[in-house]
Amino acid sequence: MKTLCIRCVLWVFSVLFIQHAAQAQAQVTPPVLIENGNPKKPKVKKQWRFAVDIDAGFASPANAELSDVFKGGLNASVGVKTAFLKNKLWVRPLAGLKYYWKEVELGQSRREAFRTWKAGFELQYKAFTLNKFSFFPIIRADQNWSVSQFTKIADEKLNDVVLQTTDKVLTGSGVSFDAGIMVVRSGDLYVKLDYEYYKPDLKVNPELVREMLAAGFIMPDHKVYDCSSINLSVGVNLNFKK
Amino acid sequence: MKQLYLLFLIGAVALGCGDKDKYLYTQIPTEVVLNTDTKVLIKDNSIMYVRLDSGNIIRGITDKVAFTTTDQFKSFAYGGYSVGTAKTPYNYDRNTIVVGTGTSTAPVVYYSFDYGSTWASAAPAFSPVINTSGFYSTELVSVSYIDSNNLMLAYQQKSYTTADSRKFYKLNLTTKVATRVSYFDDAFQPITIKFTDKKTGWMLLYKNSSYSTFMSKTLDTGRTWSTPKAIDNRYITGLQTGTKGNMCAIEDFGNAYMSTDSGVTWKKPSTDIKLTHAYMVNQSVIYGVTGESLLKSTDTGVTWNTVSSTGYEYINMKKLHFQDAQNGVMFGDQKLYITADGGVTWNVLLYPYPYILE
Repeated sequence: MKTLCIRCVLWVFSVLFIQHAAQAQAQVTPPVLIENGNPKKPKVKKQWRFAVDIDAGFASPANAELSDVFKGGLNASVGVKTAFLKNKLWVRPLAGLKYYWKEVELGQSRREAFRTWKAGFELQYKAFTLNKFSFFPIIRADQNWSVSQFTKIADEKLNDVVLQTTDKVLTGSGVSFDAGIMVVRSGDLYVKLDYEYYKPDLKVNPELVREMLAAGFIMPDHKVYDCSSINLSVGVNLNFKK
Repeated sequence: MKQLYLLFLIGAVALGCGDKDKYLYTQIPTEVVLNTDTKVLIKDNSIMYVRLDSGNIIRGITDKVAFTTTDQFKSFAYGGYSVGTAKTPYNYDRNTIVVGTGTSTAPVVYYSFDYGSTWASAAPAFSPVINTSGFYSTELVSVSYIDSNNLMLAYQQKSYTTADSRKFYKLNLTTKVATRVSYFDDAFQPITIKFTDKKTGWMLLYKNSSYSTFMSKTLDTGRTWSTPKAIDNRYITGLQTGTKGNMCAIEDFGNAYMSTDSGVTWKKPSTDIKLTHAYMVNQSVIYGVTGESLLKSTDTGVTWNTVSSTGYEYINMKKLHFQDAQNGVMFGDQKLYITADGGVTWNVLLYPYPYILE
């Protein structure tokens, strides 16, 4: 899975490179109208600007509740954005994924994964530009669907399996809020650093509750987890005009 | 940009890492089901007898300690005890527990009148002395409670040439003298005796020649016994006496037999069942536990219906005790459960969870 993540990051850079090459090919001089020997200012017409942002990166749990279990995870999102307020404010509907995982030994080799699918909106405001870098404070709100599960990663048949439950162990949903900053270089590559506040109320699989009770422990059937995280992502901005 | 790439590389390395001993679900705070102090009751111990009395008082003994609780073991009192190696089965009668130890010809009888908390012993002097000549075996098979000053000792002697003999001695706990009250050379083997008052008692007998278990009754503290009445062609070892002539005889891993007329007539299940143990609550309610389920009969033991069959370790249960038709306990070795709904659901009270035995 580490390889997979590294590949994801490399994909972003690959897309960036392709986009760079395409832009270099397509650069044209803006047309200038000449009337009676004098250049005429073209008629300005409102043009909607659209772009696609794709990013992926590293998520670091900001709370011991999660960081004790996972040291880091994968964070990715994709969304189409459009501009307002003279291209200063960008609104970006998006879909995303946050994925924490690790391999564990519960009597047999398994992978514990905590996966969150996201759908929401992001607002990016172009605050200022310094040299070739533009700085965008961002805020974001998402609806999240989270699930934690153990999957067998080896076909071992052992009698001493610590945890029998292999289905979804924890499930839940909730709204998350992000705030951070995005630094865009030359309008294509960007780096995003943000803090996500997410505290879902996760329901425990009833089978696990029964399993714990059989082992002599009373486990509540739900718990509010602090899944807040600090996210650092790199992304590409694919611009196109309508 | 190189620093940024390095940052992402470090992040990528951290992916898929985490404490191998912690899982997301283990972050949920849990409570232990049982009081860990109950370790003293079950570690290296085996539960022998438990009863549930009014006021939700649970009393019992293991092979090393006696215990009492009124709050389902959130708190409990216990005390160790020691008796010799049992020669006879333990005989339980309300607050009384008696057992014979030592040898058959020189036994030491241990008895407790407070549910096993304190014990006393008596080495009886026999009158007359037990004569073993002519018998190839002399065995003390049962010690039973008569009243607070008297116990009944039942002997069986086997002979090659004549019929087997059974002898009954009444042990006076004050004088420590065991006086023979009756004897029979009729090849019936005494199994167990239960007295309901200081004169009235019942005895289970087995006869090899007919492969049957019989019931006999005394009304004069064992001096005379009624002609044995056959119950069934089975070896029946358990006997429970109730009020108004209600009796229940329980076969080991078999049927339960019920009499409502002081043992004159007996009813048995319409189809054979394999009961580990049965408990008669009253004339109309009997509970029985099998290796797979809890059964209940409400027609004097003829038909039995399953009360519950899943979720509990019936296979490890050895005995039942019910205070009334709804409230009871079942137990076996290191496990004790309690019910308040007639056995439909059970709560665990004692269990050898790893955190208990640690």
